[in-house]
Amino acid sequence: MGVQFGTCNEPTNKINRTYSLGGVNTFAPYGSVDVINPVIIVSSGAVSSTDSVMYISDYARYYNITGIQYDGKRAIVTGTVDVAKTYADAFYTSQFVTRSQSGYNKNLPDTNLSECKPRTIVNAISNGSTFGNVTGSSRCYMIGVM
Amino acid sequence: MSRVSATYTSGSGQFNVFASQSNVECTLSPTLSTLFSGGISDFDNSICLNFCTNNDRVNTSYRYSGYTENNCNISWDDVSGHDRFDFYWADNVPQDTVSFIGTVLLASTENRTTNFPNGLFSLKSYLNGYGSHDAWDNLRFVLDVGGNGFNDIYAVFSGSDGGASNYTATDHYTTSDCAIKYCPNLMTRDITTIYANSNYINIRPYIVFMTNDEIYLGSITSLHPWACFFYYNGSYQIENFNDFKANINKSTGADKTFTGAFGSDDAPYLDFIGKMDIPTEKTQAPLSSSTAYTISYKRYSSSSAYRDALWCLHKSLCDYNWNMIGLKWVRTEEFTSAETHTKMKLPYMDDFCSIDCESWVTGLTQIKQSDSKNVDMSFSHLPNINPAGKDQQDKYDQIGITLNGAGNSFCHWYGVTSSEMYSLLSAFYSASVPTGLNPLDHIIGVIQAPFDISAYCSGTGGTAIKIGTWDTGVTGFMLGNQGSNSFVNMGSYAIPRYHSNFMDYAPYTTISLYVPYCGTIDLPPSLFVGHTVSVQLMYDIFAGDCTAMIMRDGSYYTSIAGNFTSTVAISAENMGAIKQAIVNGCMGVIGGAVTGIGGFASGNVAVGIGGTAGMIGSFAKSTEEINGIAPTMRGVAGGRSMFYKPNKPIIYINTPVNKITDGYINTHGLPVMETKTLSAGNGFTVVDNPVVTGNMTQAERTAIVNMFKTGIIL
Repeated sequence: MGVQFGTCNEPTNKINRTYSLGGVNTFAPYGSVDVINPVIIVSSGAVSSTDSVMYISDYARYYNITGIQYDGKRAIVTGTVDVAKTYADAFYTSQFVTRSQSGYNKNLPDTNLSECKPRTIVNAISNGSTFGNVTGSSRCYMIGVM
Repeated sequence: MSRVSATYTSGSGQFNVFASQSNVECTLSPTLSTLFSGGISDFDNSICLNFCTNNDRVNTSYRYSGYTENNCNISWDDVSGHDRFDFYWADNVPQDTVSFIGTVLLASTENRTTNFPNGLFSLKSYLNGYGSHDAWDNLRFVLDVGGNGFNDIYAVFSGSDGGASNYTATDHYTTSDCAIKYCPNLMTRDITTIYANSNYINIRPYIVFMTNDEIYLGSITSLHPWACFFYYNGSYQIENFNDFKANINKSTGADKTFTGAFGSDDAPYLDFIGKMDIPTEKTQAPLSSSTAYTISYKRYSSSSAYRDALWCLHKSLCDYNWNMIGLKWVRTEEFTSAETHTKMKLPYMDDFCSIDCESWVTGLTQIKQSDSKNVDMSFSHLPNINPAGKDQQDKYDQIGITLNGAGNSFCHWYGVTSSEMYSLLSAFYSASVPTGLNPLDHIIGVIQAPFDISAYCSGTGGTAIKIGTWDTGVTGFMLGNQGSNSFVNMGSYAIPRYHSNFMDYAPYTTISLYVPYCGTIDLPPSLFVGHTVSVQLMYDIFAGDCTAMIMRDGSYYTSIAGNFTSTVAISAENMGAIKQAIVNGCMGVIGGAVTGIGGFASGNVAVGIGGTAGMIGSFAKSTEEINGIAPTMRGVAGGRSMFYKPNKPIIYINTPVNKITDGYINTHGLPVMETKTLSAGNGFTVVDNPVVTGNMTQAERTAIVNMFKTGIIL
């Protein structure tokens, strides 16, 4: 059985990340076979401590490496399946999108921005007419006489 | 009413220009077939009807033009020694976007004497009923709207009125040129069709005629018409800008296209933006000011004089509720060396306001503060701008307001100064009082207004104030009945979209409006953000009652009732009542003196003659109010305390300062709430209740579901 180790600098939640994989190395399961969270034994020279991903063709899955233990001439590598790489097509489907970096609607309230700092804008409307000011000589009193 | 009308009969190819008076020349107008050299069925281009006067006392009558650049001025140049006007509707304007509905004409002739040769009245005469028209001496802008019939044009012009209305073809009165040009409505489609289709760029030409003094383009002796537009408040979203850009760029030869901007008072100098260089991602006016427009215009250089056709982009141009606030040209650039000034001036229409324009729309005498007397407020002549069945809010003329104030009281009302009032008081306690007469028993009330009421008094010499037959020896000015039902436009305010997102609306943004003498009203942001609120105050000088009409984009929203007078104590008992009213007000017992015309709210009004500082009021919540679109009113109007409050409307807008940064969107996204097909490149995305299919273990399926919920990067 063969495994390829490599690196990937993209976020783990990115779909169909680009792996930079090396050559095929033989491995043996460490204990029972687990295709979801495999633990495998390889020669210590097959895997670098900087490797972060691997691909096991026999399991037809891509994995994120979660641990590497060196034990003399061998290394024990643990991983967990990278579903975003292995099943990328499952993400490119029709879904109900609640939030997105694209195609959003700015007029929908965003609860993540609930802490809004208020400000008050005060403007006098001055482009209309007003009643004039009153001076001491203004005729501003009305007297009703019967 | 004198006016020239242009009618078009769909499919018949007939375009008739006529005037309502029998002796005018325009009855000789040609049909449309003579205006166009070819077929007219498609209306691929506009037509321009030129009406001209000049001082050669020759029958120039009207000049008409066809649809091409060459023959648009077909015989205009033949009028030797006279300026010409012309306007073209650009050939490349998409046909299905052209609508001249509600065409507005502006003509500026400054104070030059001019007249229309066909014997129509001048606007000045018309507006002033052939009486004194000093107030119009500085009228520089004439406006006409085909807003009702869409094919109408009032023959309006400013300057000397000439005094008569029966000019003959050769009896020209004018000393300078003036013209009015009209591009009639060529579209017969339902306006709602145009309006509802956001893919249209609705383009409306407005034409401004300017005298030499106002135009600094090309030849200084040329008069250039400018298709321009009113300053619109509201949303400035530009739809399909790229499409428009593409059409503009179809121009060939040396013609140039420009893009500029209009600004308002608070941003009067928005610079020229550049030749169609607005970033395509801009879906709003590319300037920070909320009161900016982008416009584009095309300069035709293929003729002897430069001509510039200018039009604007605006989403809501076909709205019935267009609200004309003002117009200010900001700046143009890239003019040639022929120009004598670098800055073009368009009329600065300080005098324009929504009510004024609306009054002109229908020929109603312009209402100004100083001219608020003798105004026909019946509104019976206002057009049915909003036909039945249209999903538009009614204007205030359509909501059945009864404008019939309480001006006729069964007594005499005198306007006096404070010194005259005290003289009267002295007379009451003088020896001249007839025996047995208590003058105070005859005083109905003494009311103080916050402004000089001389304009509402009749006569010039004053009238002796008499108690019965006893002459008090004090002279006052009797208030005339014309004082009732006055009207003042208190201005308007374009409420911008500060954020262009949900924060522009409640609960993040709240808006309240203080109206002098009436109190404060909350305005629902969902209705007013991106729109213009205006205040029209109707008042009854006798009673002091006033009702502020709160308008949204020129349409009625609600009203607030108030009272701007204060009762003056005339006895100890009376003073006690006034004090009690003041105490009540301070204790917050008084609710709102509120009226809801049109059914938004119910309440009491009633601050009558001599009314004190408010009445206890209450108002029930209507369905609209529960839904958050009905007005919420608070405050109270009336009383002398109102004298010390601002006499202008004040708008308060509470809105957050938060801004959504690009980084936030990249890591959190913004709400979508739609079902979409995801694909690479969409970026950060969160999915609710994802559906995951395919051959995989349940653990893997669960992992994918969790990733959808927490966010993936596509």
